[in-house]
Amino acid sequence: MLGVLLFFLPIFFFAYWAVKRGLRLALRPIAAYTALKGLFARSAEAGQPVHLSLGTTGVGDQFTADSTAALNVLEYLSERGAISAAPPIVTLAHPTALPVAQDVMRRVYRQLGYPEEFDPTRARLLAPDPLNFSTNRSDVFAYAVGVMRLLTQQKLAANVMIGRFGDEFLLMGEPGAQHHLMQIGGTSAPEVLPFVYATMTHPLIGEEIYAGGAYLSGKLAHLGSLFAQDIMRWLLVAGIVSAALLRTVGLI
Amino acid sequence: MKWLPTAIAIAVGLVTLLDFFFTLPLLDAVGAAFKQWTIILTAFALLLGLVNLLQVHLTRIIRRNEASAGYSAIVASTAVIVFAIGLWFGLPSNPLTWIFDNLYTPLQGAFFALVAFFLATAAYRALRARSIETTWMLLAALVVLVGQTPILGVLADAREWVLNVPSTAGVRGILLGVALGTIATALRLLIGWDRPYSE
Repeated sequence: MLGVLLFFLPIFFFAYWAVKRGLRLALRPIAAYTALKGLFARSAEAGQPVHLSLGTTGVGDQFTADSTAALNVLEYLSERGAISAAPPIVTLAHPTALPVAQDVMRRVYRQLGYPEEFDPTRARLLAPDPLNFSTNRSDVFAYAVGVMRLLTQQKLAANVMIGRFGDEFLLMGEPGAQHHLMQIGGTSAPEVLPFVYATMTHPLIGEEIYAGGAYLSGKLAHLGSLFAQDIMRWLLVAGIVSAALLRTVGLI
Repeated sequence: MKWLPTAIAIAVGLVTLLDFFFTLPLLDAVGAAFKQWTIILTAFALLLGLVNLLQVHLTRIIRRNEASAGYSAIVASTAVIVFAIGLWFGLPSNPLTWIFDNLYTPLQGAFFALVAFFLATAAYRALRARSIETTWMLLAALVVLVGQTPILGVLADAREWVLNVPSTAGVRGILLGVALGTIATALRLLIGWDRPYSE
């Protein structure tokens, strides 16, 4: 693991340096991010907010990367929402994600010049996972029920669910699908991806959730890291194919 | 002083990472302390969460004009009652165990029973042969489903192949991509390029 990290590091810096020096990356279109960009015209026109679920994990555990991916989307949605006066409703199930989510939203309003418009109750801890604090099991049924109710009772322009989810994804995604709500979502858990594909109008599959910063905000660091991931992926593919060939001819 | 949160985050991240890879007495002690601090911070975040929950629902109750004010009253009062019982009797205690065993768990079971119906409607929507991809998905699902039935055992080998070859290959591809994405995100946080916690 340390070896992979040390191998990745120079590629990571090289990719960032290349992007900073002006390397233009051709990002393949991802329907979910294209739809997210067009969301706020729809939201402002209808006067309805967008719901964003940050997943069931917080910051500080092994799924922090997933929560960070969701926070990147939150930053974009907050920015657009603040401009169009239709801030998103953010729900979460882990208490550590609450202050971070509120801080992301507060920062956006401050940067745009109207901090007084920030409403901390737009980020809501619906229900924490009661088992998470004593065991390794996850049980976010109360959170899922809260989201189900929000999706069926509140008039929303769209439902966005990005982060780490378990089986409860189906409980939250299906009511939205049945109400013909525009739904954009994704997770990194492979066992949940069938639910994502079945319920979301614009699904994000696996690692695509980490590309939000590059696609939505175009930040150099995010573009650089996306480029580094691609380099690493090609190296991995080359390694796997070479190993398979060497194994076939009996050299290893 | 805007650099201070970034410096603290980078330092704590690096120490925790080094503690994960190496066994040194000093690193172990500092790493263990950081983990304890995380638990304390999570407990405070939970209190903030309770305040947030009450803020959201009390606002709805005070406004009264929202249709969900009644539900909000139930949520807010339940949260306060359970919190008070937890404070008074401690954890674990008989009253709290009773609440979980007799209220929470049956409700949880009832709601998770919905998954079966949601699975049926979601599968119907996902498996409609609208494009080449969904047709392939439908065929694979049929092979796996029929291959499990004892009467049509002829498809058992095909089922095994679908599960062990294309399905496993796809999952491994996704997992490798997720691992790379996680490493890239972690590096951005460690280097301080991604700062969800500060200006």
